Amino acid sequence: MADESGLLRSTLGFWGGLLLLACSAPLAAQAPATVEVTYARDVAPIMQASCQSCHRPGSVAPMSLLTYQDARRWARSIKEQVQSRVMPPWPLDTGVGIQRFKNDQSLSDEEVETIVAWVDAGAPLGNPADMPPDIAWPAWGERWAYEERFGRPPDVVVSSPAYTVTADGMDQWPILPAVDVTAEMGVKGERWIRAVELRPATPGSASVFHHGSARVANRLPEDVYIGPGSSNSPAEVRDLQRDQLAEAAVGVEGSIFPEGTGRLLKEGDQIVFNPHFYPAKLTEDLPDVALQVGVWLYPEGVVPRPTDGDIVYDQTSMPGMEDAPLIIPPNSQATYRTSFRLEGNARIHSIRGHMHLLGAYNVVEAVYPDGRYELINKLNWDQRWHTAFLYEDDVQPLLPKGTVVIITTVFDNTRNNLAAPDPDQWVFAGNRTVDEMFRLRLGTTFYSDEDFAELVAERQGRPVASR
Amino acid sequence: MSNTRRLGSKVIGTAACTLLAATPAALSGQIVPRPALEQMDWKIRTIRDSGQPVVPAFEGWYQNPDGTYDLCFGFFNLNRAESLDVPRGPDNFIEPARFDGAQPTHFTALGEGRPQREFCAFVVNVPADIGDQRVWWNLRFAGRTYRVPGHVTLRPYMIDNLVNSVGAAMEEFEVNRQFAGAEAAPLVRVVDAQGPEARGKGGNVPAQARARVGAPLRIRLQISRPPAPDAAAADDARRDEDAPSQQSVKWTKFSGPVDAPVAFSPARAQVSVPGEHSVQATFVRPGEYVLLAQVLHGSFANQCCWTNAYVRVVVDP
Ligand code: HEC
Repeated sequence: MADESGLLRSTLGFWGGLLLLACSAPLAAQAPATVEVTYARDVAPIMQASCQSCHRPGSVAPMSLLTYQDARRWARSIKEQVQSRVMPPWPLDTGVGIQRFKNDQSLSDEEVETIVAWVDAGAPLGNPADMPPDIAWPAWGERWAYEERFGRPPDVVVSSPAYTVTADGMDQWPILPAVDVTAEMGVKGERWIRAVELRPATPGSASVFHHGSARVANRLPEDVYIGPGSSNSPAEVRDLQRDQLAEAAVGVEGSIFPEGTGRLLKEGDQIVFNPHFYPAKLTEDLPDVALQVGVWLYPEGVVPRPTDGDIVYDQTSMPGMEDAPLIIPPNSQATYRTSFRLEGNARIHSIRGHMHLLGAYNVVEAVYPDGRYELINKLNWDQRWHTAFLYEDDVQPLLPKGTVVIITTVFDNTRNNLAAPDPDQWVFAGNRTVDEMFRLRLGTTFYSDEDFAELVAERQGRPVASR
Repeated sequence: MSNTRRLGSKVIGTAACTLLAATPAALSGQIVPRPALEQMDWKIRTIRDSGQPVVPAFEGWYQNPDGTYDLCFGFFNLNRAESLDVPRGPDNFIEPARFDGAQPTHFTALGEGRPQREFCAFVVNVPADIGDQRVWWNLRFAGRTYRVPGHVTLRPYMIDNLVNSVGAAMEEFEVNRQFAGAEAAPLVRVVDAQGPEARGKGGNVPAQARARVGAPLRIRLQISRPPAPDAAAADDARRDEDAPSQQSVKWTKFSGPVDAPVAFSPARAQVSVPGEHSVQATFVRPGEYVLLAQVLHGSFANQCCWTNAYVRVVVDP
């Protein structure tokens, strides 16, 4: 079925990428001499497809890239940013691990070459007749990120209570009153969720949400404390988290569950908004800051396979880590490594790390029960982006019960890390932005042995996107 | 790869070396047994029974009503069983020298359980015009220096002292706990000793007491809610105004003679506030000690709110 050709494509894509890398130096040297790269014909389409969603007035980026004049003014910086793959934000090592994602924002090597060649050629406009028509970008909040994928706006939209972010430069984690899910919202009885998107409700909200993350949960047990120091075991914590709906931050829109799987939402459930605001640049208090969650539902009566919540592996609370608390010495890099054994047959549909300012990267590896080994992904960390990487269905890791997942985490508290606030500090685990944290979230569905065997068979025996 | 600093797979393991190479277990003359093979793992064991250093921590800063600032320092003794005494001097000093003297000289062992550092055990009060000047706390163990700078230049290091102004929930795990404005550093008075009431992390004049070696000294603390207007902020709307709040008290030796542990009974306790707490401290050597009681309403990890109450005890033979 489709899986096979998908796998083939990914395999070709990988080797194609390598080939291109190998040949790119001579190609680049020849390019300017033979083909003239112009803005109108070659670069504008890339800007429209990959840059303008953020680089336009009223969006998250500091400057607009809507016109040739804009792009020309920023040409040198654009070359730098795309060559180093800082822009567009896609903090993932594209040289190793699984490379096919539903939300891939990265440029292809060819696109990077095109932009570089254009800048090197003096950023020419070319023939204005080649210019693609301008895109009519929607105003803020007019359109949801997943709208295009589902062909409709969310079926249910829930807004959080408003909060005033105070301009004192400190982290703020307001606990907002929970919002009840009602029939008027469009949830009568039991409905199943296909996808959830979470976003700041206004441009102002987005400006202070920039370094934050947020969580939406439905009906968590009251009076249950499950932070550090609680007596709950990690397994119990996982159970309590089962009802998590979605998480968002800059670069994370939410969750799209694999086709045929979903999560239950019932009339009478509650949605709890847990935003984390970091108003570093605020000079005045900012009122009416709010979040919004948009939910796409399966048609009434359709009951998909329930997905589990994100499994959260919190390195600092993993069993056996008691003697290795996060301690990051000044002017050095610190590496932590941990592993866990999967207790069920897991299909992983998304992956996301979480660190603070000193995060450098995470390597996630799997050793299968039969001894095969695979590097799943290397997630680079950039505190400006909290990207959740959503695997394409046919490359979602299928990790059988007993698979050992190995996580290696590197923090960089040196002057090389421009985000490090003060590399002379000793840094410890904690919640504040200047403390450190490490979490790995795996969006997971567990399968029975029979159902899992079927999934594996569809991949022709290859449990993951093995090459 | 987003930039070159992310290319460093070759750096794996440097942190372990930094910390573990620093202080060989042989220092204490004790051989750390190798775990059985099936118990071994790759985890970086920064926490050991003994032989590890104490790492200084800059917790953050806050401004006082008089315009001066307090720089908050804590420390992390990485040893479960080994308490360390490091007298003020070349192995334990603050620079510039005019700020030296506020730091502890005793670093209590971690004990069992999840290791946690001692949060803001003392403050260094610096003038309003401190600017970008840095105040360094230096500790030396086994020939290596562990130092950290305190300064007021970074707003993300700003912390609350008396009242939790915004509330900080555990970012992703926390569920439905009401924090904002609900926590306030309590007023602590040392009964039977001369000294004013203490409130907050710093600036507190120690109470004075006298004791004899071997004879338990009883110290009573009277703990009460802060006065208005903080009290109003401290009373969460959902709570009954008069209901007592559960707070915790933790005793440690802050400074005193070397190799002279102080036994507290109990070293930790819950107390309902307003209320009274009493501890017995027993000394094995004469000399001048400073004991520290941290009375916490809130969470150390969130840096708010607690009161550091110091008691100076002169112990006669
Ligand atoms: C997801 C949103 C997003 C996308 C997509 C995106 N950018 Fe950006 N870009 C940003 C933000 C936000 C910043 C500011 C980063 C910061 O504050 O550090 C930025 C910064 C930049 C800068 C640096 C400006 C400076 O100050 O030097 C350049 C150049 C840039 N982007 C080019 C691009 C190009 C070219 C693309 C498309 C190939 C692109 N960006 C796609 C959000 C985005």
